[in-house]
Amino acid sequence: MNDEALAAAFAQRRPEALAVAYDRYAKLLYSAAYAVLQNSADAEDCVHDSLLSLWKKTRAFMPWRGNLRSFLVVCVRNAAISKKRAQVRHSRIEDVRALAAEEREPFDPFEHERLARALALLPAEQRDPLRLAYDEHLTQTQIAQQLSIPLGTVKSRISLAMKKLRDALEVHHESH
Amino acid sequence: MNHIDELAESYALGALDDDARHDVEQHVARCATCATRLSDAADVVASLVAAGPGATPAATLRERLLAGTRRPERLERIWGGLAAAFVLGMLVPLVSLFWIGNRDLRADHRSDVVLATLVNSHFNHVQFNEPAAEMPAKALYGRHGEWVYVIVLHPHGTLVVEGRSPDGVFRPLGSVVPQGRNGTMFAEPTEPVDALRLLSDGTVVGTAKLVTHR
Ligand SMILES: [Zn+2]
Repeated sequence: MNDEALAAAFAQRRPEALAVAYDRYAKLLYSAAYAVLQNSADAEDCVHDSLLSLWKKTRAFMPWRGNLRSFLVVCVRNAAISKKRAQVRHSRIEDVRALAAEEREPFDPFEHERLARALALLPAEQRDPLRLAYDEHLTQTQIAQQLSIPLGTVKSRISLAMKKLRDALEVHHESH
Repeated sequence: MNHIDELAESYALGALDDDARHDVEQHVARCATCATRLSDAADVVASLVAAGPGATPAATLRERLLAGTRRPERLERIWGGLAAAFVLGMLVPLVSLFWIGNRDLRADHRSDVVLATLVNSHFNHVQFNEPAAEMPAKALYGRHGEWVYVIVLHPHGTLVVEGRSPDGVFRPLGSVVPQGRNGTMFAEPTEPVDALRLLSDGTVVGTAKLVTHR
């Protein structure tokens, strides 16, 4: 089953599609959740709950038109971020950075290298809001406060940074 | 809402709060342009995740997830609850509906007949298919299609149930009557029916095929 056929089967809730999607993407999805939550039980719950709820209302997928892998990553990651924000609200903030610093291999070393190069090309004024969003899971409003810049500026800088990353990744892709 | 514009990238990154996220999801469900933009941003986030540290879930997660798809869904549990209520406690509304559909019954035997129907008759049940998903509906029916009891969760609009007679023609069986937050319709068609359809203000919003024993 190629990725396109899998996406179609997933959207139709075909019984085998969830198993195939899991086998194909579970490690990446779990890595996404773990990177946010830094706790294996929470990350597993997050992958489990997100996949199952998407599976049960797959209409939500239909309008995306994109690839299933990216869609699932964003959904699982957003769910993990929500969970993290709720945890932070309800408990003391622990030093998760220390945990994150534990030595681990990149999920995909090739992608790691591509992204490192693309990120290095971003000006600091675009990289900083991107990093606060991606690494610190801050909302746009929190980023605006932290960097003391208007909300509209945060939006446009994040947007620009993402587009540049996309272009960099695509150009690099074609040269292969 | 206008196009989501720059919110697409922030959504994909997880930089929106729950309300803004919800707005984006609502919008992309209707707008192909924004859906494409969101997909592009999602590809970048997938790359960022793949470039980050890898982690492997416990082997038990797969089994747990697949077991979840086999477990009855919430809706099924609601129906299970309704079926139990139907047998155990929903006698009062049913009695009145049953009366409407059984005007020829002798008054002094009405209650007996209702109880007899519940306790003695073998009935099947079927869920109305996909188009009724916004308004889930289920039918309980006698095994020969001789009586039909339709339950609609959260009905809206004017709902009418039609039944297909042996000649293949759908004929009205009755209107769905509100019962609290749900609606019900009971009928004893003059001829057995083998299929039902649910119409909302004249439009078919659900169909159900009955498995009857002739
Ligand atoms: Zn739009």
